[in-house]
Amino acid sequence: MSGEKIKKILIFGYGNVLRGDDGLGQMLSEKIEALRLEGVTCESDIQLEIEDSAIAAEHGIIVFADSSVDCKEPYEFTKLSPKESVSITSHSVAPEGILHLAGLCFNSSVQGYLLAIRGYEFNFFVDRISKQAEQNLNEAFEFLKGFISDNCEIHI
Amino acid sequence: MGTRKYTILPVTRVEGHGKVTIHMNEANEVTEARLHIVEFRGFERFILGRPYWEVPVIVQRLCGICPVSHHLAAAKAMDRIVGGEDLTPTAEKMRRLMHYGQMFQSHALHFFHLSSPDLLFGTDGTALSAFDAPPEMRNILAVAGKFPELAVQGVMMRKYGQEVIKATAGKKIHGTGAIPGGINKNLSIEERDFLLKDIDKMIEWSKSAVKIAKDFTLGHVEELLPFGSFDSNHLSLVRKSDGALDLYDGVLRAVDKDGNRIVDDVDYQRYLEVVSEEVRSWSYMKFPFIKKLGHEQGWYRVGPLARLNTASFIPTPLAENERKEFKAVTNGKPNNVTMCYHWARMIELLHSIEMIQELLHDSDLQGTDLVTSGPRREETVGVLEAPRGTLFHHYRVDKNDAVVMANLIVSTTNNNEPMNQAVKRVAKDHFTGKSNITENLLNRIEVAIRAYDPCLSCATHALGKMPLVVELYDAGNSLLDSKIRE
Repeated sequence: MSGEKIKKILIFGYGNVLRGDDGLGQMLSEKIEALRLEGVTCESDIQLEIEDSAIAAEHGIIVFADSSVDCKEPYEFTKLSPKESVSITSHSVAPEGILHLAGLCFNSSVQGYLLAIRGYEFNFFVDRISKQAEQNLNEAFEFLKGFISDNCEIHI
Repeated sequence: MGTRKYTILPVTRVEGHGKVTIHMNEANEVTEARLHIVEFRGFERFILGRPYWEVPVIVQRLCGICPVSHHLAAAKAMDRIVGGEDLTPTAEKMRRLMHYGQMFQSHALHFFHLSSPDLLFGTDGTALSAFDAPPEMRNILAVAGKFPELAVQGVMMRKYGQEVIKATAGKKIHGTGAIPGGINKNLSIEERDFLLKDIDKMIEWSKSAVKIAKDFTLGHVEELLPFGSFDSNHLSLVRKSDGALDLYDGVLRAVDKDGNRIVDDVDYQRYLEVVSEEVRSWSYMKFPFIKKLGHEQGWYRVGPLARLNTASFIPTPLAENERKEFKAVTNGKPNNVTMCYHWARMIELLHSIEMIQELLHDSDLQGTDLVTSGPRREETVGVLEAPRGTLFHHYRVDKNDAVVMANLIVSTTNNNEPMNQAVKRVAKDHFTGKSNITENLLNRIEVAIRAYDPCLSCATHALGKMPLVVELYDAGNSLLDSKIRE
């Protein structure tokens, strides 16, 4: 970060809440939303779609929150670059693809980050998360609050 | 004579996972080709024991692609549990608005995100055919790079449909708008005016999308007519009173390849008298068919192509003009060309936005009579036309209001045999004599399947979980070759 604070930040949690720990991204977004922070928009969905690029373009920073089967515990936070190539298994769009589309279609230079939260159990039709994933979620939540505070013109 | 088996797994740009196996003999002739789809039937068990009023909300989690279709099909079913199937005008029109919003955004997504690379690349005067665009170009980002205005239109049309859903269902995902016997909100004047602001632009863009699909189809007739094509029956709902295209409600109608009526406007509460499902050992997904014709003759197509073949007309002027042009290509007979799904889908896109416009000008949407009820029932069926085709929800509840039986036949299941037929046709036409899977051949299989816009979802995409795997087996099921694309 350059030190200049951003006015608007988007937290976008995605994943399938009916596949156990896959719902971590959505749950994190909902936890942040409950804080009702001015300048912070929270969205959640099962997957990223092309129209999310339009929402991303309205913000200075977007943090994508998703569960991961193999990231470090309890979470990994990485800066993303727009990428022209997307997964061609793409019923959804990759976070980098959203950034790229936001730039191409809306001349946006939104900064993107991925907050991957380590999950463990991804069985179908399970609407609860594992105990360890819950701990990881809480740690990711504390981290994200700090990130928002450090980078946005808001007070938590 | 021994055989080789090619496996293509999963199918790209299709919702969820699929696997294609192509069986060849030693002379490199295709003997069999199949599309295997992993279908998760566990959802029907998951909702057993839950109170019926929760179902329209829970069932949306079945699918990240068309949750509104499941929401409304379940709500329609539960209307009958509370005896509230004769909805108030406000409730019915709010649901219709929600449904046409879903149809609009889903068709826009499929066209601009998934199929437009098939239609846009390789048709620009280069040596490429309609199916030969290199893999790095077959995605929305390549479309955005070369046709930025079109990409913006696709994104904004998706967004508009999502705004319609948000205004009617309360949220863009997992909405709660439809409840047994009605709806829990009307449309405020502010919401109406917000949606009306962009409606003219959406109609213009929809007309342009129809033109792209039409020009592509008519410009590549010789290439497209045989591609993955075959004669079939066609099934959908049509409006009860006059056979018009009606995506939200109606009666079941099916026609054969020549247009003869084989299911004559049957009440969908009796769907089990009309439709049955066959189980095959090699597929998780069932194969529905029209009962009286049997499983060999009775399978049918659903979705945009089928609907344009069954409906007597489209009750909105712009889309009806386009339908007439579409029908003229086959002299008024059913269209059995797989690649014509794209053109039909864009005509429905135009119809959907016309319906949205008509509904937004209807003051019933600001009414306050939202819910109705009547004599209670314990068994019910809800059916509608989802973006991908006819969607059946069948439930029984007990005296304690708990769901004790659920059976869902989703659109993609209805199109199971047609998709297999399409794969088989492409394999026989293009793989015979070949000894390996080239990029070009792989893409042809994908293009044929994508025309049906199958939703194999119910799935997820946890990071790092969806590579494309291509495997080649010999007659003894030994792996000869394998390719993985992330």
